[in-house]
Amino acid sequence: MVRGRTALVLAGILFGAGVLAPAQESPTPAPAATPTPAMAPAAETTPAPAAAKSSELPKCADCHTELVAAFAANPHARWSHKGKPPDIEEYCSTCHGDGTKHIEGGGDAALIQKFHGAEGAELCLSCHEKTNEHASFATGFHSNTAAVNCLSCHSIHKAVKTEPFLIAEKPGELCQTCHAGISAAFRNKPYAHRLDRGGMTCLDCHDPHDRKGQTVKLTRQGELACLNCHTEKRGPFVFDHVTGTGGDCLSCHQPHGSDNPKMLLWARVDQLCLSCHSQTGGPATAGAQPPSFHDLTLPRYRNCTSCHVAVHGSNLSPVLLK
Amino acid sequence: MRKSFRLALAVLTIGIPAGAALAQTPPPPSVPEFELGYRFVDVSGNDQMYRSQINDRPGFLLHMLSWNSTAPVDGLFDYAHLDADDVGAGPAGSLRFSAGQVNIYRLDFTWRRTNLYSALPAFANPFLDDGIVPGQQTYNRSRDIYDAELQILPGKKFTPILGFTRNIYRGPGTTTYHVGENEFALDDRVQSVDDEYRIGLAFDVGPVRGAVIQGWRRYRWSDTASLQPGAGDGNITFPILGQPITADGIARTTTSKVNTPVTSAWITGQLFSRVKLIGSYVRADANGDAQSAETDNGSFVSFQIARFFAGLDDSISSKAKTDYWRGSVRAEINLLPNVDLTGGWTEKSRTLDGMALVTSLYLDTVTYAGVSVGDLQKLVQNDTAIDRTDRTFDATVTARLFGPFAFNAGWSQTHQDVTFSDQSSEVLAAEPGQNFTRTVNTYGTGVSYAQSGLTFSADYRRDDGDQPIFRTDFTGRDRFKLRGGWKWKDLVQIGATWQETHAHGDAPEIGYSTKVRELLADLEVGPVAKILTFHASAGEFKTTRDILIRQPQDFDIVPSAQREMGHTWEGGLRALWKSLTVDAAYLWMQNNGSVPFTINRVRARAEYGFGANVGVVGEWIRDQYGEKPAFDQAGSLADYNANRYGVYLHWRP
Repeated sequence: MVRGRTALVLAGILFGAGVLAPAQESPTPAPAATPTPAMAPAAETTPAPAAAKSSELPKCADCHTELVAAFAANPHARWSHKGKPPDIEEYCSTCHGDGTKHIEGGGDAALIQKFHGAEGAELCLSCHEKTNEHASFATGFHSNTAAVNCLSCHSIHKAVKTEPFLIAEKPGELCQTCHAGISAAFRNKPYAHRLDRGGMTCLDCHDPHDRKGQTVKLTRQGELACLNCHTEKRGPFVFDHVTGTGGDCLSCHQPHGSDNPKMLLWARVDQLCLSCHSQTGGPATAGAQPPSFHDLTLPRYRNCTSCHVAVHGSNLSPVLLK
Repeated sequence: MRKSFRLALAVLTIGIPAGAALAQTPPPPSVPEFELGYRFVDVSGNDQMYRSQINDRPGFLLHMLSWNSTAPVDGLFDYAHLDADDVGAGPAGSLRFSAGQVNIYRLDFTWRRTNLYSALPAFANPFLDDGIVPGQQTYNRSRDIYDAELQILPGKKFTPILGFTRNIYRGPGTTTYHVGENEFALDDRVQSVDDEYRIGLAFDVGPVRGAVIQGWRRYRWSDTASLQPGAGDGNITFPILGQPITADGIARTTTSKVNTPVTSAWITGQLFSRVKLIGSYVRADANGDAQSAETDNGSFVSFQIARFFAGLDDSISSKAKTDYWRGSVRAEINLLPNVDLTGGWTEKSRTLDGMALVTSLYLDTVTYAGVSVGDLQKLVQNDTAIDRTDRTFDATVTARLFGPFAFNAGWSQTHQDVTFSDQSSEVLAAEPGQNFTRTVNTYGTGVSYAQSGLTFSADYRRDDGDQPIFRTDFTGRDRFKLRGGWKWKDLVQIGATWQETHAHGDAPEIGYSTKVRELLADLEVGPVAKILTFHASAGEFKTTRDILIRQPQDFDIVPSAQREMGHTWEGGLRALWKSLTVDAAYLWMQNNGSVPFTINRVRARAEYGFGANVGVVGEWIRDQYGEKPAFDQAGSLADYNANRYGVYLHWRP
């Protein structure tokens, strides 16, 4: 509690300090920082810097005032070298190319490079093609196609302010565009993770750039993403149950929203448990049959967890009683 | 809790106008956008059910905050960004801060708090038929997650990385304990702290990139449980064979600690411009120790002629060790322009070795003959071991940007091998030493099309498993997905998705099958561009799960079924008129399955702008939940009607 309070106060002070910090005189954006690895080559792959730097011609900011001012907070404004005077024209021309004709043409939109669809996204990949340990952006689950490409989800100039990675909409709304059924389950089902409210988003569990069939993130220890938050379920337990023994969290739970309490697959706990813990013949399977005193005609035995409280694993009881 | 939020909000509230005031003189202002106000909550019906499902709390709320530095501060940062989401009243809020100096450092910090509440009427409740709610397992806890990562010399050839993550989970709850021949309700309080420290080095040298991170995880857990006042009669309130089964006192303290060094590494390299190789490796060997001390007093066993005891002193010392590693090697090969072949091998292995030494001291025991033999001590040592290996090979061909079309086709094979050695958990295997193997082959293909506002995609995957490890493992599974949409300017947008999964097992003795269907269609019409938009959607969902189970009490094999079937209807509008914006939506949902319920939801939000910077926001959210009677479900005991009203100040710089 004390630490939580301290963190909040620190956050407030940090925030206050940021607000109170003396601003610089220049109204132009900062030359800013951090060329991320993916961004670093931008300087090398930049199309020829704008020739339209002639003092006779207007600057980009003269017409696109708000757009240019807002660009200061854009991660793409950070690849410049420290000490170099801020030159927003150079930032603009990196993606939009030489703007001389556009300026000379009185702002004719046809005379400036704009980006749409997959072909526009190819420009993004010219810098961001560098891969991480999962998959490259070009060959991942949402690889650059006409139907889904970088610009389907990211917006350079109109990103959501409170989200990282220049995402065009709140992640839940964004993913809903294609994954409407899953998004509706989060929004409508009575038992669901609290998506897009309070910080949790689809991106906490899913990596949209990973390869098909492998979009569920892993923890730093290589486990299912559920354990990033539900760390107390990780163990190791002397008496293990489903997770780590052949199944995982999804063997019993529906993380995308459920009609059943605890986001379980079944409404009745006894039916869920007995779906594995029944020996009815056929191939040998894991899951022991409960002894005969478990009389399902009595409510206490239909509530398996009334006794077997440690269903996620136990260090104390071979039958998960504590 | 409430105080801490209020304190933080006060600091934020003071900081904002102060900062704004100072920033009014040049240099340019650095003012955040924020929405701050108060939320009122009015619940009728089952408040605990409302809190278990939604849990919006009354109080001050910082709905959103976004602040960017507009100019560097020498020696401190070149850029800084702070944003917050739903901080305050709860149940969930987060804060994110990032800052950096070019070529020097990059710092990212996040904090997230979630209030977790569960007091469900029909869960772990043997007295539901008597109208007693909630169930006996409840909690009112919070989770705070802090994560910080510092990169030094970001983007250089070598980038040192320092990181720290803390996850704190704590709070009270209630649970149950089965001892002797009865279950007793306990008060329970847990506190766990999971810290992870990380140090590493990222490198970017020519065509080779990667990182090596060494982390240390330190997990501490404590749990104290004691008999609830008045719960000494237990769940079985009648005598068994003439003997009341009662508890005078139960007290248990459990602590556990886990130390885990974690090594992770990944590397990528470019070969011949068309081939990319990616390798990754994670190793985490966890060592856990747990100690438990328990003292129970009462009459716990029924048989007068058998051994019974008046008390129990239980102490348990256990150790668990897991060795885990996961490795993968992958290749991405560019065969032709826009045609790629990707494939690789992934393997993960987990071995568990556990030991628990249980020392039980039964007090005042009586033999079968009724002779008192005093105290009796029993020592039991359990040794457990599990080996699990999962090995996957996969290959996919992707052809993209063939005009408006894109195609993909792939195959993967996963082989699982699990052995339960020694005693394991008694619930896991019918007999010790059992070994299970399973191989699943997956074939999939997909196509997408997009042109002139029309989009379409179709995916199909087929999984074939040779044999089950769990009874609910399929031997055959088909997954279909269809999506279509059409957008015409900002005037009309139509979309529809259909998703269906069929899974079944071959063994007639198990009789397993599952069918899940989801249909959703939505329509958005904007008759007045950027001024007025209507939206509506309709959905259908249907889930059937069937399996044969053996009833323990009579060994009869009977069918077990889970059903979820229903519809959703949603409709709403967004309107902008002068300084007023309105966003309202209504949802109706009905499930006629195993838990039959109806949900009515209203979301309405209106903002009126006073000038360019200030707006006042009014918000009304209603959730009405009602259940119909069903076997072992709460019925009308679960019903609630919850209204939340919020008034917020919206400041836009």
